[in-house]
Amino acid sequence: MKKYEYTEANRISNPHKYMYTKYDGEEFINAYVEDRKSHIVRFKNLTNSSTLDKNLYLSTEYFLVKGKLLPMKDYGNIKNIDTFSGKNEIKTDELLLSIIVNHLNKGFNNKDLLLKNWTDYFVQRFEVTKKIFESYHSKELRAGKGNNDTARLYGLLSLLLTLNFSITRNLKYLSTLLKLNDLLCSLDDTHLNDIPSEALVFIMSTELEFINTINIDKTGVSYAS
Amino acid sequence: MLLKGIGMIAADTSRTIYYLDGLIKERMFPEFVLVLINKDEQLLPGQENSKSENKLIGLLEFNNIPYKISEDKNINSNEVVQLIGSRHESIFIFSGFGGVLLREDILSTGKKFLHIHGGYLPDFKGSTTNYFSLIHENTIGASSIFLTKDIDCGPVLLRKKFSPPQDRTEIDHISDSEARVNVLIETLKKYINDGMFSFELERNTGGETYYIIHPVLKHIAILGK
Repeated sequence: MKKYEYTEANRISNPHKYMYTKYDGEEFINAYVEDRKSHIVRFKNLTNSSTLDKNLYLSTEYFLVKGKLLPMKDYGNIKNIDTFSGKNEIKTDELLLSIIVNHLNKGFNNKDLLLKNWTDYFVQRFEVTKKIFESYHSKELRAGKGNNDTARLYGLLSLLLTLNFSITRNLKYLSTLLKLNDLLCSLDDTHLNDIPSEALVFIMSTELEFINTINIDKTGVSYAS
Repeated sequence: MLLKGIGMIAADTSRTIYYLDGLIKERMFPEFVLVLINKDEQLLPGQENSKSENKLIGLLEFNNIPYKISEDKNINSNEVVQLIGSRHESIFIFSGFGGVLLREDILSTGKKFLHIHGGYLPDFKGSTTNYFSLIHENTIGASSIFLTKDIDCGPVLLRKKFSPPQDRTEIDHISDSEARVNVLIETLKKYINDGMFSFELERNTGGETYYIIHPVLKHIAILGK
């Protein structure tokens, strides 16, 4: 069985550039599916005590399955999206939370350009540097600041892109989502401690569904079982 | 026919070989070619192997095309900027190494850089867009533009969509280059015929900027029907 190399090493400290990747036929898709499934099993068994973002993930899951918003209980203060600006330093978790909650509030027909621009900003930062920093400096927000190995931030961006791809079906977001999820799968259990295990299972399972749907449509083959 | 006032910047890549082969077949000869050689062991974007240098020089010599080899492979280096700035040609067909943006210094030499983007603009900007368009609409594309400081945002001279290639496993080094050379030749023929460059789409705004496609999506694009 072919190995799926993209989750093999810690992809925060050993990022993959994904440049001119080799074509390995259907076997490669099988290897990817099996790798994701094995990580889903691992995540189900995590004795992870983090409850910080649990409601957010549950709300997103409910939203994607039912198409409706589940009232979020005591999530805390979510900053209004309009308060973020390219002229000031931004805290990554505050902005990601704000974009996600705004998406959930605005529903499936949301065409808010501000949300798209901020989402594209994070996609660009991750694609160029393969990192997400705790915060970003004010000068055109290009330079990251603080830690870049906080799994929770990668998890939140993954959640945002899951939501975004569900709404837009734009493959650009799915492509970056796959890379983010490669990175999350490459981290060991301790490193993933600040992401609820249900959230990891949800993100990975949803990604597999996305891929399976596209694969059936394009190649006529289903890899789900 | 000598392409008067038109030079070429040619990295030792498979794409450059395609461009030169295409031009020579049409009996279109650039006045001058600046060759960028990668002396490093590691291949750069666009390089299939390290043997293209000999083939490239051989093609130029066999066809009596004047050329100069730059000691520096970086299009933005002082050496290249000075070399280009000192030439009398006003237009340069650009076939540098992939993934590099032209900076202010080279753009302010007063020359125009004719680039053929591997994708249909403005819809598909950025990297590996032909894989994305294959999944999205089962076509590949190419567009000729004059380079500006923003990625794939220069005015579009000509753009074309093509049917999917018979062999999708060779998109990186064959089909993508074939589509580009087709658009390059057509752009130059139109220029020769009209005596000037005209634009199909002067305001190349909007569309989506893509990043390197994830290998799972790349495989689906190749395996697709």
